[in-house]
Amino acid sequence: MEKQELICIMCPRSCRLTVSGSDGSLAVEGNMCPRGHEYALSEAVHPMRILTGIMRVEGIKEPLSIKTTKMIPKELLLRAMDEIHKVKAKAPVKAGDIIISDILGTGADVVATKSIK
Amino acid sequence: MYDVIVIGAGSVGSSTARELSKYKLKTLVLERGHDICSGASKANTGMIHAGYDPLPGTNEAKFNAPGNRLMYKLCDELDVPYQKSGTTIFATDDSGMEELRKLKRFAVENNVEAEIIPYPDLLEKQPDMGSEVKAILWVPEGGVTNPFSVTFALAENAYVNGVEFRLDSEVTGIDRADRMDSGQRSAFPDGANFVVHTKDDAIACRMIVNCAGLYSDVINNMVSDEEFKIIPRFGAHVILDRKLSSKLTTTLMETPHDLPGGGHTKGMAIAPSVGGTMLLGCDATEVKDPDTTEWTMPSVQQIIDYFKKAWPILPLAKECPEFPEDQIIAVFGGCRPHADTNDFVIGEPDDAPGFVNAGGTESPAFASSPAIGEYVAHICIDRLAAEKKDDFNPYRKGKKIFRTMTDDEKQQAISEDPDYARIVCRCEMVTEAEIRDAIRRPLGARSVAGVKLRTRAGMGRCQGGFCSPRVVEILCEELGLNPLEVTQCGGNSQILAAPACSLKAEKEA
Amino acid sequence: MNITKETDLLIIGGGAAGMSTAVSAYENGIRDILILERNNSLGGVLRQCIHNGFGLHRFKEDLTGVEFAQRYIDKIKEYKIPYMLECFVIDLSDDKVVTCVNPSEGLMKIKAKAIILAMGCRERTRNNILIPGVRGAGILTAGTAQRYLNLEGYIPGRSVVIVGSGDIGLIMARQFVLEGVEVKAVVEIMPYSGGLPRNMKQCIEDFGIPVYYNSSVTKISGRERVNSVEVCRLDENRRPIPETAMKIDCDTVMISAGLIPENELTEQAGIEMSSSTKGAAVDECNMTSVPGIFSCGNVLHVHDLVDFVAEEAEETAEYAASYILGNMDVSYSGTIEVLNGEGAGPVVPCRINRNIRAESANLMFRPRNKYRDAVITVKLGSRILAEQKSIALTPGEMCRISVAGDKLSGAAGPLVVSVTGTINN
Repeated sequence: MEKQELICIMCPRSCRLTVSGSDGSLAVEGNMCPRGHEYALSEAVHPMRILTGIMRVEGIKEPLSIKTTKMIPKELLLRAMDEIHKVKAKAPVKAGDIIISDILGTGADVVATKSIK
Repeated sequence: MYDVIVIGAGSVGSSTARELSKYKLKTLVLERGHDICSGASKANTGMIHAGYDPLPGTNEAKFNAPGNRLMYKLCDELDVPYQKSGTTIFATDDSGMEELRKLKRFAVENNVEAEIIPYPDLLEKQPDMGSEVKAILWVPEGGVTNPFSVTFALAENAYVNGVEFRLDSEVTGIDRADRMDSGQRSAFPDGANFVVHTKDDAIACRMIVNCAGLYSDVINNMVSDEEFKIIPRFGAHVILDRKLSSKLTTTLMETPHDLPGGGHTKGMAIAPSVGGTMLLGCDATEVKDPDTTEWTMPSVQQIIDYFKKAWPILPLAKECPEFPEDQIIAVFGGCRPHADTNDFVIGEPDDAPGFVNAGGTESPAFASSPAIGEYVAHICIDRLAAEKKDDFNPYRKGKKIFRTMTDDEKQQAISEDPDYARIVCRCEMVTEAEIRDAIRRPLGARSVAGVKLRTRAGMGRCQGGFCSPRVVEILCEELGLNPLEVTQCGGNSQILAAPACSLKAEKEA
Repeated sequence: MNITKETDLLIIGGGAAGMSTAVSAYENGIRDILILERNNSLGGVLRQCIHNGFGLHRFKEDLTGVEFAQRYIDKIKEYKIPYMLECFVIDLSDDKVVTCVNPSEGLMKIKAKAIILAMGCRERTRNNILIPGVRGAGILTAGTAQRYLNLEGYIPGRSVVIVGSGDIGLIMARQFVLEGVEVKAVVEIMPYSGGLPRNMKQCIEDFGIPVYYNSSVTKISGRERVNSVEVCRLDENRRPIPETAMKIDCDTVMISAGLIPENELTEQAGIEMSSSTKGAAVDECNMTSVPGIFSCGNVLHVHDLVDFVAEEAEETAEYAASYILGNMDVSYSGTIEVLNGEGAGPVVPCRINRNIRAESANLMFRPRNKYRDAVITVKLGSRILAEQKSIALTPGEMCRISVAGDKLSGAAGPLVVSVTGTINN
């Protein structure tokens, strides 16, 4: 594999990372923390993202904000969002409540990030 | 059948309607736009020109000075704020001096008070004017008001006194009874001289007053062979935030110069507004589309460049040495209805009895509008031998403006209506009480722009970024609308496109 | 009208900065606190920030903006710190009296021993950046779009061109794509993004959204609603090159071209303003020219991260607390001016008291360019007081460098902050 230049998205520090080497032995440079190392490895092989968004709540105007409990494959972001938009949450919802478990078989749950009465 | 149909609900049409409402007449106003004050009056600066500059003998000269005087009276009757702050035209060179002397001569002929004051005597009137200024023409009768407030108040007062209004009603054709064959004429109600067509209706009337502004040529040419043509002249204005406004006590205007970009103007002016911001402008460029609001960078740059250069000689320079470009909060523009006759087109064409023009109403038509309205209304009143009503109510009370209240008034207002403590527009400090009133009033606001023009909500430095979502919500509550139905200014100008989380499903369906 | 209420600490604004100062002031021993918030809930703009990336510094957790705000709301409730919602401040005077209104309390005049200004900022509008063209529906700022979507539940348009590459715009670009809105382009006047590099990556590149650098929208067209924009490349003097004009169909133009601190109240009170930061001129304690009035968060200068807003707010509250408790040395022996030199944007604070009250002075600014292998230096005359190396700097990110207090005491100044390195625009 060629040398890849990446910008770390794990935190706002946005470290500039380089990944080199081949599949079995990838080397990461430029990271300031272990999370950066982890990110670079995953980004080089299979990019993963946290999904955040909103969904409807039955009978309530205000949308519910949600997130996945862990990163899901980047290529599944749009499909996962479509799945979320197909359902409506039922009030009351508390922040942290699981709305959809194991979305698209990723092992990540979709949880509420705010409470709606 | 109506006695009179007034076409157009801008300042001229509304003033005509209000004058007609003093008499026992069945009057209808047809407005093409979604709201009162949708055309040229919406892009007006609100300057109450005194009438010192129109060429003597023209209609502009005939109506401007009387209109100016009537405007102050109207503002008092209709509870519209104004400042009779005078107009100061300044000259910096010999050709400017020549121009001042010409304007002074015009003023005398037009019966307008005006005085040339040389430097340094002018410092008594304008203490901080730069020494580059050779002299000023001081015109004490000049002033500023809010063109929207005047027009809304006139229309509202006409409405309360019995005039009917139909909005979203563009006139698509006019039939003249005297040009119909006998068969067609039998379809006309007794005494009807015209049938006015809109997309939904055919409405018969005895007389028509054409106050259609930018479309006054189109309306005239439907009826009369004495054709004229409107050449829309686009002008842009730049608005500065209110920080310096207390330092600007009069409208300042340099004697007209040829603009480098070409075009026509009364001269670059900086004017206080009754809302507390300042207006700079404007230029005038001929355009094709009378409805355009599209401003271009060269025209705005011309205004900015002019003020950058002229700034040091203006009294404001004492407070703020350089032109405060970062205080620009808005740019707006619109077209003025310049007629190819180079004058207002007023009165009945010889070949169309019963059809009265009040067209070609470019500046100073706003200041002239009370006099034009009175004049054209009285052509109808006399012809129809209408009697005065006993119960005409000339007064209208506006909603008290929170921003300009004293502390005690604020306290009192909130105790009577807690909505006065809910500030919706933080930049212009407009309260929920004022916004709800603007919607509930006769001929009230039905759109976000309608609320803005009536209350100033959204006119300030954030340009509605913070308050428009709340304004949408209040419009929904008051008018029973779904948020998706709320528009910026009628037609297809919806603020919102779709409910969240619905677009994908919509596309699949 | 008479004073209706007195308090030790009055905080204007209940967003990230206001809430953090309240919590920190409480933890520093102040009990008589009042937060004034104009909206009907605490949280400010965080209420509409449903995306993650908050709290990594402050809580060592990846939170959404909504969750980040809730942490502080919970603390305020736990400490029983009083706050008044729907309370709009209409005046601030230099004798520390605030005039405000609330629907149930009416008009109030509140006198405080100390006031913290935490009013936040507003967005630059289409008019501020002079984008020519029509008026009409479909032109709005990114923050307004975010509010319509995340709080009101409505999508403002179906196809969007984004003007500017500020963070809110980038975040909204991603959310729009996820909502099924077509994001046609991001048009940026500068050669680089105004937002965080991570947002360029995960919001724009991830979704293949075209970005036009060195370009501007030169015309907005449409009648009742926007139907297209014209985009031109800019020449070296930042003027549009007409031959490069390109039309992009869209029904919405979303502006994300930077933020302006909302200092109208500050100016009303006659507080000295900094002409470079557009915020109040503050010292190393974030105290303004009026003793006892402090300023922090985005009303002081526009931050890149809420975590740093919270941090700055907490420090400010400590100083406000010691001012209230009479522990602050308010004697005045002149100040050291802080200036931005080569490569550095305006610096906060803009002055440091000669008898410095802090262990160190934290200087914050944005670089003027993108740099690689950069060095930030703080100099007093020819003497280097602090130096900091960095692999890369970008204007989207704030730089922070601290100078030890003992190096400063007695110095005359000015202190000059500069950046050198390879410009990488």
